[in-house]
Amino acid sequence: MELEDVFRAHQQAVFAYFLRLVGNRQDAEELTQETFVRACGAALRFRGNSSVRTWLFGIARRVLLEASRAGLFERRPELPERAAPAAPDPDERMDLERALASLGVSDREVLVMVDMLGFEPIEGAAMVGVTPDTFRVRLHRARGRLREAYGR
Amino acid sequence: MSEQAPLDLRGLADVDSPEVVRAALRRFRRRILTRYVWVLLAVVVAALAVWWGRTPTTLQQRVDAASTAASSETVWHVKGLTVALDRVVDLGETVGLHFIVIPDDRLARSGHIEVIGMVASEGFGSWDEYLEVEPPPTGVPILTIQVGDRTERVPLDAAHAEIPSDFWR
Repeated sequence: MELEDVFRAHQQAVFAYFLRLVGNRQDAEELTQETFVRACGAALRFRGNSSVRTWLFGIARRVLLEASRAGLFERRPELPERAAPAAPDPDERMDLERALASLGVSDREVLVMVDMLGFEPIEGAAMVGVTPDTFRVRLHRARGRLREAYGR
Repeated sequence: MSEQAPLDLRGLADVDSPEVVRAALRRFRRRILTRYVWVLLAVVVAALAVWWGRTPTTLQQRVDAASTAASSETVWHVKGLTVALDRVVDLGETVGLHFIVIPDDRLARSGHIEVIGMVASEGFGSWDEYLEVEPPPTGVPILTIQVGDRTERVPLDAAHAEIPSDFWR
């Protein structure tokens, strides 16, 4: 499989990860592109110890951290555009987006990784650089805060 | 204690993603190219610096770097000034001469040396004097040593300076 095809297969997930964390399409697009640029350089060193998806999101997370240090989150995030016309209940989706966007970035990150992108907590823990137990606790708390923000 | 089921966020991953892969590959190639250009530039600059450092630029460096073409241990004394011809080197079209000039007293400090056909000189006032001279069309160059009102002229030939006369041809 060509590198371009591999990237294309994960493009939407990486973009969604950034979109839910930074809150605006422009930054999310820029960060997604930067992730693939870095991945091109890192591809030769990829030994296959993890899945391509985990490897890519590891790079994405480092890109996000660098952008965060450069002041990305000091800009006011916009609410993401509704992007899935096929959603069964657009209002419900919008409420969920708002609830997620109202949380802190560390809460959003664990929720996006596990509940949105489907990573196992153990994979998320490895990417975030904490123990699986710590990650599970963070996830539990983040889920509680999301439920509270969502009003259920 | 039972935990409530987490809210289903999977639908939020279904976003309209822009095409970034091709742009990322282009950016990567550009970045690599830029990096290569910088590395190449750094290598060229380093090579130039090494070459510049090794290339003799002053007359002294050129004379020191050249192999000795003729040896001489001739020493002249003119009114308190001691002049010794240390090295004679071939500089291609011209000839380099390294003199050691030692003033013996105050008067001698005002003395100086020159050679007819001199095109460059370095080190006047110090003990090491370097002269670059063009070989004369005929005969041999004449070294002039002047101290105060006294002037001495010495042909740089086999008899006076241990340099074979055919060296200048």
